[in-house]
Amino acid sequence: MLKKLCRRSGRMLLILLAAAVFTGCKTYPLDEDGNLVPKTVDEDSSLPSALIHGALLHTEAFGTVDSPLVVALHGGPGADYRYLLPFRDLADHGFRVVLYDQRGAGLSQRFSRDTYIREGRDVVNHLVYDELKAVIDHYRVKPDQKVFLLGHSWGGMLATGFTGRYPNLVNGLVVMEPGGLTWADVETYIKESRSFKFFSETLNDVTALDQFLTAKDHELMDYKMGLTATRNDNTGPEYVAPFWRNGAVVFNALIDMGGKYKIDFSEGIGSYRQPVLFFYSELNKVYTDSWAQHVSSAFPVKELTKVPGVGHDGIVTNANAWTTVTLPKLITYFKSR
Amino acid sequence: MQTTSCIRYITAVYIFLLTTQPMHAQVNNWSAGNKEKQHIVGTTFGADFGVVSSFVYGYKTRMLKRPVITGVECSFPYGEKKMDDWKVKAGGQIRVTGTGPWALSARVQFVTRRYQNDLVRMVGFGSDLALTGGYYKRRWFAAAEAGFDKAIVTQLRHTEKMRENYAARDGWYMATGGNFYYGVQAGFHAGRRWLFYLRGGKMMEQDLKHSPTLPLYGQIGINRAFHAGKK
Repeated sequence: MLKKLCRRSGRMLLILLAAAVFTGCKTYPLDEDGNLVPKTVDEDSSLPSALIHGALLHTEAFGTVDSPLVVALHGGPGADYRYLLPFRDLADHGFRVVLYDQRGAGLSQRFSRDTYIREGRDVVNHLVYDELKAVIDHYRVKPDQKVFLLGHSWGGMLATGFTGRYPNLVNGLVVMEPGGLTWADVETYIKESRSFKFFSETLNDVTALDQFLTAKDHELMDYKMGLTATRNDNTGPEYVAPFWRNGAVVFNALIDMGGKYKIDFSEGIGSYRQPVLFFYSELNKVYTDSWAQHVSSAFPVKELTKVPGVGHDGIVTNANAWTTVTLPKLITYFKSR
Repeated sequence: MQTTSCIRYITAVYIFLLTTQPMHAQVNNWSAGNKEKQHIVGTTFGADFGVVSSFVYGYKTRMLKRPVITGVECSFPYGEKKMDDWKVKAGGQIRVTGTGPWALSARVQFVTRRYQNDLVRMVGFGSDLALTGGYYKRRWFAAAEAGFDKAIVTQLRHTEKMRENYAARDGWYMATGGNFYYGVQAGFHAGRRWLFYLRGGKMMEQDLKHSPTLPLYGQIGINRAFHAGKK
């Protein structure tokens, strides 16, 4: 009886499966470029790119070539500059806006994890700061052309670290909610911002995915990382802004290396005597007034701006906040430098 | 991989299931209640790619002079959205060999699972193959287990929200993932019919380099056996 039942149900399932596969169309290979994530610049020559510091970077610039440079650094690690496209508005106000996806991130060229690991404690110096220096050199057309850095989140941390290393090169620094500038603060911020409730849908959305998709190549890992970037109620009410593609390998490598070597992004910033424009958001529950005071204490001279009605990304991606608060502040700041 | 390969793979798993005719209740005491046929119902709570509860039904009988359990396990993770994620395992477990209180069993299950978030809905078919070996006394047991949970084919259907990022291709994808797991299980009987057990261990992705976000699994469970006739 049981045997019959098993056989019958098994056959039925088999028939249903076969029918699903036949009628549900063909199967696709996971590793075929473009199926799950967009191609990177080394795979798609139609994308704007430049070979900088040994990597083909997805990059473009807006505004008159000899205007003061505003170089934007996206968050992550591993995100892309798509959500920073509002920065292009600065080009209408007399600035040369440079956007680029950091190596291994967004649509820039991918590298193996070993590429980052073998740099040891110099991973950020060699692969991030030197890359940023090369980006500036690539776009700077005259020696007296001013350089401003504008970093959001992880990008704000990198911009700070770079400025501490090259204080005389940076004429102005804007940071938007850097999680922390010491690694201890970074860990605290990550822990707080990702503290999902035990029985929450958010936790399940992240963990259950591992049954379906496991690490194989950049495409699959980037796709999977993108699927977990949806909403985070801890850091703000807005949905995560549209992105092109995440860089899972660089994300994991830099977070691991940061933890191992306790990377300090505030190193040298104490000697930077220019005022720093520091944005944070009202609705990021983790980025309280006291946390903003704590993180910004690394800057000797600073101006704090709390952007009302938005969360972490909304400082840039919320159209109202951008046009009424963030953009006017940026223009005033850059023109005063 | 092409459609034909996909079907071949699924067919192979199915044929294996149908011919071996084994199982389920992932945890069983091979030294208890072997003189009779049994229906087994149970429930578990624990961590398995999330915080999940599951419901188990098994039918214990004998085949090829060996005890076997066939059955099904349905598990549901916690979350605000009900029924958007679930997993059903159907298959069997057979005692392969053993001497005295020592026993080695094999478990083969066909896995169907669903996942949904704001960007994608996934429906996947796969297999879960495991070996369990341990020491089984009439009132208690302790064992070690190792297995491989393979996502053989997965259908991805992306939402409009996802398309704002990138128009990833909807469709069936082959061999999207797999996880090895190994751990221990132990249980004791309260009376003739009740079995309380614990199960836990570690998981690793199939490349043996990466771990899942939740790299550990653990279960606390209770089974109730019902008499279903002499063997």
